Amino acid sequence: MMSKFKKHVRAQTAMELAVFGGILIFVVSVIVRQAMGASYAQNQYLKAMRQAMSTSFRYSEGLLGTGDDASHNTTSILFIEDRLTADSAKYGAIDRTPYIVSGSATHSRNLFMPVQAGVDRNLPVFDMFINGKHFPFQLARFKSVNLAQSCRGFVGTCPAECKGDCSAGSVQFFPPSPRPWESNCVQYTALCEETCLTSGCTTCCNPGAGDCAAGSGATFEARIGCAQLYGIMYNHDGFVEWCDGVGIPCPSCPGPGCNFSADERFDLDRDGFFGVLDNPDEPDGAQRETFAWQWYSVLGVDETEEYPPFVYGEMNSGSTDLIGRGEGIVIESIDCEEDCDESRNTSVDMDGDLKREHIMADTKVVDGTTGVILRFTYVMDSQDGDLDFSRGDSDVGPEPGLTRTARMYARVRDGTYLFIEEDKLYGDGLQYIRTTQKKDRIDLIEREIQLSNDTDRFCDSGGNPTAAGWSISIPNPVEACNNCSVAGNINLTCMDEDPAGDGSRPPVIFVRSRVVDRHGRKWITETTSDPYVEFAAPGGP
Amino acid sequence: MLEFAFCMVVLFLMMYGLIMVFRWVGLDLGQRQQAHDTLLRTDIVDSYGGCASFDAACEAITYAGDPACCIQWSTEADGPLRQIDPYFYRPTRMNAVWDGS
Repeated sequence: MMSKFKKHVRAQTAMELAVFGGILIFVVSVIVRQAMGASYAQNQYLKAMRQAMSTSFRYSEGLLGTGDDASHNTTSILFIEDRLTADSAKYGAIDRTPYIVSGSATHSRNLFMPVQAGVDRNLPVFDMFINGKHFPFQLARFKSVNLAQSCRGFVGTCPAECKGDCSAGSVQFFPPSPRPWESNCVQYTALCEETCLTSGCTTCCNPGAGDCAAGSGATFEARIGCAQLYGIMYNHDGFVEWCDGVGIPCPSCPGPGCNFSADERFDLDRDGFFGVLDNPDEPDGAQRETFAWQWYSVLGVDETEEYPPFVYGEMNSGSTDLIGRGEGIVIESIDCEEDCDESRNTSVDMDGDLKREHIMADTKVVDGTTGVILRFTYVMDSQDGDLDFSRGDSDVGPEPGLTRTARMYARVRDGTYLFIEEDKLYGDGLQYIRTTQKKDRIDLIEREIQLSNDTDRFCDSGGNPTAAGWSISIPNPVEACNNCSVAGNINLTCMDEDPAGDGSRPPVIFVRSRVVDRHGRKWITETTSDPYVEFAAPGGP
Repeated sequence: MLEFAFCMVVLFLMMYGLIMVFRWVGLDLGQRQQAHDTLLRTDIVDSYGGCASFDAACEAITYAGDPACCIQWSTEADGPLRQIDPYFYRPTRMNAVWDGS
């Protein structure tokens, strides 16, 4: 019995050691794998933050860009990298894990530098790096806005806004395109003898009665329309124009402070219907007292001091009174050095998208006769850039930015790639359809970036990658335009300008990262140019 | 007895290896964070891109701040860029494979 027992315990220690060692090696491998992941993540996090700080600093100091470049005053960077991770492969790692990290920083050197209209390099930029490919997306665009067009000499059916006066001397205006319009915006009064001469206005004066004669003293009066614009008023003690119709009554019209009624101010979707019965999100009753913001009427009237109230045009000496509901706009020049006005109401909704645009200084065109009607201006529109980050729940259309879609492809031969897709875990009849022997080869990782607008920065109107505006240091990341799935383009970063085929959906960029996959064959990671990883590369044959 | 002694030696070696793995894992994370913090507090040349040091004798003859008296010019890289270099750290060598040297 004794010898039999001894026989059983022989090599017990070695066996326990083997079991324990196996567990230990497994634990070590898990630690190494997790450590690599943590190391990558930490490195990416710190690098993104430093890259954002560095980029903002370099642009502000003129080391990058053109020297007066405001595009990266605030820099936002997103890194997406599919990094190799440690695995049990015999010769080299082929498994990849995506790391997504963002960083942002602001260097305040040029933070308040006035931005000039039309200088695209000053538009804010969001930098996205996907596996080393740089996508600088502009977050705004300059555009011109026609606010009012003169009725003078209008050919065709006289628009209703012209109030029947489309004569050669008309002082009326109408909207160039359908838009909110305040028909009784300003009251214009002038001497007939001057108006008849300078404007040829004989429709309001009566030349036969001698109104246009020198020294007649006859005056002419007209109520002129202008563009109805929408500003925002905030619920804060600093904004004395705030009213809610509950605790703070709104000023009556006509009168000082005349503006929208309380219902109009809280008609958030501006559809003309008010309260929660129209839209559950619209505040009603006591809710208005604690709501954050409201619409505020701004009229397309220039009230900057350079047009004093009683000197208009070049020859006319008429007077203009603001009689419409709302305030005018004060836009001071960038070059103003003395007696400058404080700009007011320069962020208003001009295009009806329920979001405000910023009026650019020194771009306004004001009617010369009345001296106040704003006819044209440039704006910076944060909804018209490559990506609209101001998107809210009420906006329609696809959500801009990186989509949830990511595809992987295996290369068979040039131009032929197989789409790798994992189907449902269980098929019909509850058949488990996974195999641990299967090893996917990944040569191409595809991601989608949904744009908000086609700004022609990546693909021109002819359907070719745009060359203008890009440089050797920052080349156009889009390598092909349209037909993104054909053999010649399947491995290229491609922009589909009309993904829906009917123009209903903004462009999509298919980002194709051509990753290196040696398919499990012996290979050595080339790390000499890789600043992230510096595992010592083995020598030998 | 011999078997037990052999196993204990192997066990100690494994424990040593495990400790070294722990050490490497912690070092890489800790040293990167430390390098990041240290570099952010590194001294910089306030007059980066300009003159870092003037010749006092020369300035006495001409005027203080005369560019002609500069004996050491600094570059933009001597400024905050030194503190915010994105490529500030290289991972700790694991030395898990033979580097051939």
